[in-house]
Amino acid sequence: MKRILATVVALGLSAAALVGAPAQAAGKTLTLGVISAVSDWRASSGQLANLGPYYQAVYATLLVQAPDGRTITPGLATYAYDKTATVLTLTLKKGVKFADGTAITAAAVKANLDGYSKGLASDASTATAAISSVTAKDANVVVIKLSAPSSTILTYLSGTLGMMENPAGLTAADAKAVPYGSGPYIYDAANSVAGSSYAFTANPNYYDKASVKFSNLVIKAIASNTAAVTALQSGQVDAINVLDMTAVDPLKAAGFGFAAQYMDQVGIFFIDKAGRMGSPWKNLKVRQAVNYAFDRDAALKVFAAGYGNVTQQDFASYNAGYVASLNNTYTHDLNKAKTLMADAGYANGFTVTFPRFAGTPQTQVDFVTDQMAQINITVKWDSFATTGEMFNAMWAPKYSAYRMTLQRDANDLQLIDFKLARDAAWNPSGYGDATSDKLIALARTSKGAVQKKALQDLNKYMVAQAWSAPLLEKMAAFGYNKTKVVVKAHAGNVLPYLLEFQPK
Amino acid sequence: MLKFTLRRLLTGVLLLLTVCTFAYFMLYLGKDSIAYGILGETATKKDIIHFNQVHGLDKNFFESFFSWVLNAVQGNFGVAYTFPDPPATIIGQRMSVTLILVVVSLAIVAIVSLALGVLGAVRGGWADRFVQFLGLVGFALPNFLIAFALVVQFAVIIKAFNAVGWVPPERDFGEFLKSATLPIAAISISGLASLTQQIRGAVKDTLQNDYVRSLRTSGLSFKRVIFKHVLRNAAGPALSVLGLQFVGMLGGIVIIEQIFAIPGLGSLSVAATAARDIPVVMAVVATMAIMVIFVNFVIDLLSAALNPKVRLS
Repeated sequence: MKRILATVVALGLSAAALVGAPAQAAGKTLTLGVISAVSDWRASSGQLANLGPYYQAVYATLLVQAPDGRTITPGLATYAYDKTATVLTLTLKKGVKFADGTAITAAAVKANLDGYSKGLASDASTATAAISSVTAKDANVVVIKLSAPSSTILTYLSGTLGMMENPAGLTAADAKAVPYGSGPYIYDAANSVAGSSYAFTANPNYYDKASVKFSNLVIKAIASNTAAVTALQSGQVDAINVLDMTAVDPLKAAGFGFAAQYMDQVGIFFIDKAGRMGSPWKNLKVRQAVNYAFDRDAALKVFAAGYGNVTQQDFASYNAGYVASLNNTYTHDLNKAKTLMADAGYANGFTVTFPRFAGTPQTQVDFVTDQMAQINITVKWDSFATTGEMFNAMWAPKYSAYRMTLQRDANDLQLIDFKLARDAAWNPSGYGDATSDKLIALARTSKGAVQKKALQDLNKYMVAQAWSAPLLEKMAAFGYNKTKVVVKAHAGNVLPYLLEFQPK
Repeated sequence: MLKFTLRRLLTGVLLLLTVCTFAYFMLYLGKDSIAYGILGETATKKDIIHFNQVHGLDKNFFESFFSWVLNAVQGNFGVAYTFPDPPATIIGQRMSVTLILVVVSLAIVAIVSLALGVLGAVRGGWADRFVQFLGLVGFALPNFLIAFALVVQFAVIIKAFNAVGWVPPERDFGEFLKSATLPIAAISISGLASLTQQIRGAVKDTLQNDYVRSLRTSGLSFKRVIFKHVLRNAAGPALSVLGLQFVGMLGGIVIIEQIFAIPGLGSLSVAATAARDIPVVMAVVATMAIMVIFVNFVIDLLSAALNPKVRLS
């Protein structure tokens, strides 16, 4: 199928080259392709990833995240912390309104934030864990009390948690089908086709009209990788995530632009570093041996068809904690790996069980098995029908280590909270030591150069300690029509944010 | 004829019930992981229990299926897990899209196959060889490959038609034609082969019969003999093939709708199955089954009307 697709792309592009470059943009309409139709318009179901453009179109956020993924600026509201960093005061800008023209008030903000706290299904609900109370101090001021200083609350308020839905929508029976918004665009149901194409017009009540560069927006739901490519080629969409990497080079050659993103990291994650489960991962030499044993260039081909970068660190190149030279720490050296195993007392290896999702390609499973077998580590696999069941087993934690693909947020502290800190979701054994605790605490409480040094020291320490065996970072390729739009990748997010698209 | 009709109706109802029972059972087997899949990685045990209670996934199979059947016969397919509208509403929106694609394709296939089949059988020589060649091409090329070729030529290179999407005819008929032409062409081309060959073969066989010679010698025009007598006899098997074509098109529409990103029943079935949205999947299964049963029923009636021997069988 891939070969057929590649042939079709090549045929189409060579022929397209004969008839000229991609068609010139007409008017100020931005047409985006996304992976599926929106199924629930409520802000509480909002997301930033693949379906982000739908929600970013209709909901304004309290704060705004810059393309670097780390810088947070005021959105609907300005913000200020108290000295203890546990009281966050949000002050709404003057005259901010919902799409229907009603004022966005502190009470409306409270109603939205309380909605998340009540457990509405959303990835934003994880952000509310630190919120102990939300109070509308007056018509324009909201006071959020935190149970402890939070390194991520501002990021969440610039994302799904900060999306402001009109309180009328919080109780409306049709809120799943119709957005009660506040964002730069208004959903135009009359010109939309359910399940296929969603039309929007600029919101005259939006608080920051200058940032809205297109007067109309169309979002097309295109699930098939092949259709995504032909939609871009034929000029039916201005930009779309190209999931089939074999189409990237031919599209580039035909003049299409790409905003590359390296969010997802593939690696072997050692969970039982404390040895409580009786596994050999407690031994540093064993963890280092695994790092030396893997042929990362081969891994890049197996896991990402060669599209991405090899890496040996948990931080991404867009993180403040990234140190480029760390990628030379564990250069592939099988002899050294075997020596380390022998020194650790495991010359004859051992057996370990990894979890796998049933849908994981067998080539990837076989690759990990073979690489580990080189140093006499036998990997057995437990197969799970769903990722949900697998994650629950991993978080139990049932497995002493696993092969996994994990995303890396642009906010270093968010990344730490996600997989490095003792209470991180993806550190299910809660492992840490005095050095990591000290460096994480310093990173959380400092700013600027001090914080950057703390993050880099943490990264260096974790690589030296073989905290995990990072293998590669996969490329996500967002293709766009260079004659019509200008856009760059948004660090830590699979798609650029909606208002970052500029007309050519 | 009444007994025949009732017998066919009863068979259809039993078939519908069997298909729905089997589909529901298969979906029910994976019910434990549905809540995990829909609520996501951060769902707690409490969330899972609540979801299962709300959607009736905590009931045993018989209780759950019986409740679904009782509601479904009243047109209520329950509450979708992952779609904003009720399943019946979604089916209503999507069915018109799929029906347009399939019915127009079927009509094109029937008309073109009739013309080509008769041409091949009556003319013989180069015309017959051409028809046979077309049949071979139609059999050899899967519809998705035809679709790719059409998209590259007519949407990417000359940009005459849309590569993706759907515009309803009542909104903008010109845009509708741009969005519907390529998928209908892809479905029709791959459907032509078998029906053309069937009609060609049946007409050729019928032309060998003595009564055709007698009709010709009695002074009837050749055109009248073909269209009034020969085609009537050849129509039975052709109708059966047309019925099979309809079923095949409904199956093939899943791929075509994916390639062209068309919001019909095919793409709905893929999305709902991936999300394990039982109410929507079951609504699609029941709708598709009813469509297939209905078309076969009509074809049976037509065959029986054309050939009384069919009623006895």
